[in-house]
Amino acid sequence: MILVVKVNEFELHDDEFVKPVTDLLENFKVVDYREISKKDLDEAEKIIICGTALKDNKYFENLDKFSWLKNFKKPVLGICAGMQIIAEVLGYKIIKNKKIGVFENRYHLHSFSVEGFDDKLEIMNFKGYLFHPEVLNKELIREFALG
Amino acid sequence: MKLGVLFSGGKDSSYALYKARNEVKVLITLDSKNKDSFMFHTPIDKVQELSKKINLPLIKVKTEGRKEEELEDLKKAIKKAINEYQIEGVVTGAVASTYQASRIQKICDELEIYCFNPLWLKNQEELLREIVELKFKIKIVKVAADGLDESWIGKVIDKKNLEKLIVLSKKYRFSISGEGGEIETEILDGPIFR
Repeated sequence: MILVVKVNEFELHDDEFVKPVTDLLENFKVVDYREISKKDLDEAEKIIICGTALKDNKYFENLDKFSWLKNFKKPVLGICAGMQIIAEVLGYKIIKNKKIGVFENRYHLHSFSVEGFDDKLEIMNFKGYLFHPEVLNKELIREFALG
Repeated sequence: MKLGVLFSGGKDSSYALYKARNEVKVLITLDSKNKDSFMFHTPIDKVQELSKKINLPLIKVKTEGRKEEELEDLKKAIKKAINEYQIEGVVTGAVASTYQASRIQKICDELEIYCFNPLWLKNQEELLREIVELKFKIKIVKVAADGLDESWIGKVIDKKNLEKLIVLSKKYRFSISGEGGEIETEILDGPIFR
């Protein structure tokens, strides 16, 4: 089972930031980042942390809800805000970097990025894409799910 | 949160309105002179009448429809909705167009409001099935795809016609949701009417 972590503050964003990801998966469970239980983490084979809207930065105030990432050994994929969350928890610096639209066949929708990284991150069991692969690069999510 | 919907009177913006219905305070429409606009749906002549039936006020701004100027006109319309109805976010019916979606995202970002795209990347067949299931009465007003002749104009997308459209879209490989302008629609009735 892949645990899909929802980061968006408003339910109306579920269809935009979570559903396009789960549409690419077969066996998954969606959970709000504030409600992840130990059981969820134990049962998950992999985890995907979804992105959220440009103006929705509420999760930055609740980064402690992601402290489980520090000792987590299974594969985790962070999309956009998800990549920023992984980086921040692992001690990397978040910097302002606004990018909206399609660049080199990748759909970007972000106000920040991670210092020292371009639009990808790979550290141990953690992977991150600053762009939204569910839009133009669906194969990246399928590869993560199957790999 | 108070929201404005970018509303054309077609099926996608009507369904987006339905999804956000409890928070929507105003409809926003761009009346474009450019019938081939990449940004805005035409024709929109029924929008005024629809806003009365839906019981929501309408902000309608005219645009020549020139490529980048029309974005400034859209920005003006959204600004007007912010000033008059204190909206904090905009809802669109964008399904697959990154051109359309990213431009609206940029405008919302500049105006510091939220952008909601509740139909984003939705499976096209699923989208139409849901609309029909919810008893939206949607009429086809324009067709522009191989496999769709003029006899489709004026037809309502009911279950029977939907199945026919699905078969044709697979055979002739056009977008069944009409995202590329293959089918333009107009809402006649549905759960957003009060």
